[in-house]
Amino acid sequence: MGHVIGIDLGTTNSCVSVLENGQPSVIPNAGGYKTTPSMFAITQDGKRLVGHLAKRQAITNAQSTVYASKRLIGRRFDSDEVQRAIDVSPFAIVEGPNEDVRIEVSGKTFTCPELSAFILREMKRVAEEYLGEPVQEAVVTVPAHFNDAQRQCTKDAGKIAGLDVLRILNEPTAAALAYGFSRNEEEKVAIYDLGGGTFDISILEMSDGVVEVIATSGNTFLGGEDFDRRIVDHLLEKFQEQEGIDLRGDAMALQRLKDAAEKAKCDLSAREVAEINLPFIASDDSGPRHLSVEIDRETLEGLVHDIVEGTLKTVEECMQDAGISADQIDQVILVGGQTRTPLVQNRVAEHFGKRPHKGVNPDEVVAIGAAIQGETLVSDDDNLLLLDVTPLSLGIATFGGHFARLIERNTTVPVCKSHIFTTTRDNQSAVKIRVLQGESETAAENDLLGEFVLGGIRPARRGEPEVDVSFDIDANGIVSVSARDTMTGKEQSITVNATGTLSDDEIQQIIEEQELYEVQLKE
Amino acid sequence: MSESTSSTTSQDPNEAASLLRPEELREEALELLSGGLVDDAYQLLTATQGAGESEPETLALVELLRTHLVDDVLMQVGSPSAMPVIEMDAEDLMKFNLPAGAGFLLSRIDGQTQVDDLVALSGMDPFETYHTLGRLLEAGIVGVAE
Repeated sequence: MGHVIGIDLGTTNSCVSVLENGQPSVIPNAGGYKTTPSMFAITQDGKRLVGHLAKRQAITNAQSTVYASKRLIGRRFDSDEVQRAIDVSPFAIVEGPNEDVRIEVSGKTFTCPELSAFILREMKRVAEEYLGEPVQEAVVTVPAHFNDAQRQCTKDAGKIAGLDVLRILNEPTAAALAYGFSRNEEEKVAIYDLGGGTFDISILEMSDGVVEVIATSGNTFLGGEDFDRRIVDHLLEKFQEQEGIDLRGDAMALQRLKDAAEKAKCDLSAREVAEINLPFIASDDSGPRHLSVEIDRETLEGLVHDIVEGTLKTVEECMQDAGISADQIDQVILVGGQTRTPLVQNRVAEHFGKRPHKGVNPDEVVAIGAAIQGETLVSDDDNLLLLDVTPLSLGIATFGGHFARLIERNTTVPVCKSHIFTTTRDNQSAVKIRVLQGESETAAENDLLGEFVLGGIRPARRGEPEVDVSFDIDANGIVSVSARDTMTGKEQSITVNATGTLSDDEIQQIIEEQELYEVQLKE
Repeated sequence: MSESTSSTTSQDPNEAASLLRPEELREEALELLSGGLVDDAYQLLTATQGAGESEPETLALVELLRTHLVDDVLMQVGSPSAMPVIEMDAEDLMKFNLPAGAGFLLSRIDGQTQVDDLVALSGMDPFETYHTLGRLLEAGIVGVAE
């Protein structure tokens, strides 16, 4: 039996882990790094880059470098999030044939699952090099608040990458699994996950091998990248003050500033002051210009204070959903590289009234949890029971544009709820049903997962036929629908085509295109 | 790639070159090429106004010189998979009058990035990357890891 790998498919960085002899290991890539930037690029000469190389040319080749595509996966093109991304992304985001999002890179259009697949394939390759054997099976993590379409698309990405995705696992849940590995204490745990591009908070109960998620919440547009952007803006202003040169239009300078900002941010987690020296960053008639700026921790904290406070508001909402107060939390686990920032640690500690747990590596804990879950799934280990929840309410659109909840958010999955539908007109032969996820009372404000038509209803007076429609959310958080005519017992096959998900034919076509590229590369 | 402290010129070569007709400039460039001064020949044709930039003969010669320059760099480093390293400390480096493009390329050289990857990730025109790398090698700012 081959190894099952756990992949933390992050917005900005990804990480892969495997269980060896019962102990989790995080696998370093060829450069020796345990995380790989979730970036994909095509260079001027058509070469495809993934990971660190793609990151190092991200700004100078901005239009052909895709980052944070995880923020777009499974979203409708007309959603606020996508429109916001269009405003801030240097690469072209276009509408796909199913109202989904596509990204144009060097004249070729890619789907979001395809772009995620480039990262997953790279993580698979890293694992295979390390293990010295092919890897087929994986558990892939997603933010807890991902909806059905986003989860389905992530699964498609796994398929494109040549992986059998055994489970789509929520990132905070994975972190809790890693934290609880080899622990048997009964405790309530808060997982505060501030990654590069997203923020998640989850409240869990752990006892004797049972991990139960009570509530979860988050924000897909908030993370460490926002910290970096604030530092870059600060440096741009400083340089303009000192040298009178505005570097905003200079891609090479911006690339260096972005790299330096990220490094300074990391340095300031351990030191009070960081020096940023970028020689020859610009030149004019009077010769070369150098950037030399000192930034202290207090300045950084002033730049990002409001972002950190924003996360704490979300924490408060999640605590209310969970019905518990901060003093009932036994442990606070920090996940995501951004939680190394002292301001984040201090504010979280103040909020919960206790110092966060120090025993896990925030960059690696999610991948480790995924690897643990993978091993549990293939070994049928019944010492671990994972009870996760659905992050969003599931329901249908009803007359007047209202949203009728069938499954409330934070309901434990897997879950199945049925609803009886009937006709509103005599001899009506079909009923159209729109399936939605979200928290708004107004149907249009929620995410449309898909719509389907219940056809073949027997002719009868209105209100007489009864069709029992069953809505299932599986352990991956993926929704499926089935229907049965209660009079005849006839089952109906229904497919909810979520936005952005790909058909089997499309997935096969993408795989073939990728194989062709690999062959061309070898030639 | 000149050190700012040592560069002195009594006459602007471009000014002198601009007095020549395009065919004379091409002849001059070919002479420099035959003497192994490929970069000088390239500079003469690309930095001089009135060098007949749009004339097919000039374009062909520029292309030939570009190929020579790239080949020269590849010969110096050994292969596209060679690993460039910075050979100078920051203090010595600051004596040079480097353009921002060279500064950027230097910032990408970390001793772990191969020449072909450097070309891919520089975001510059591939020839410009090779050309700048060649000048950095020539100035002794960059070397190749053994």
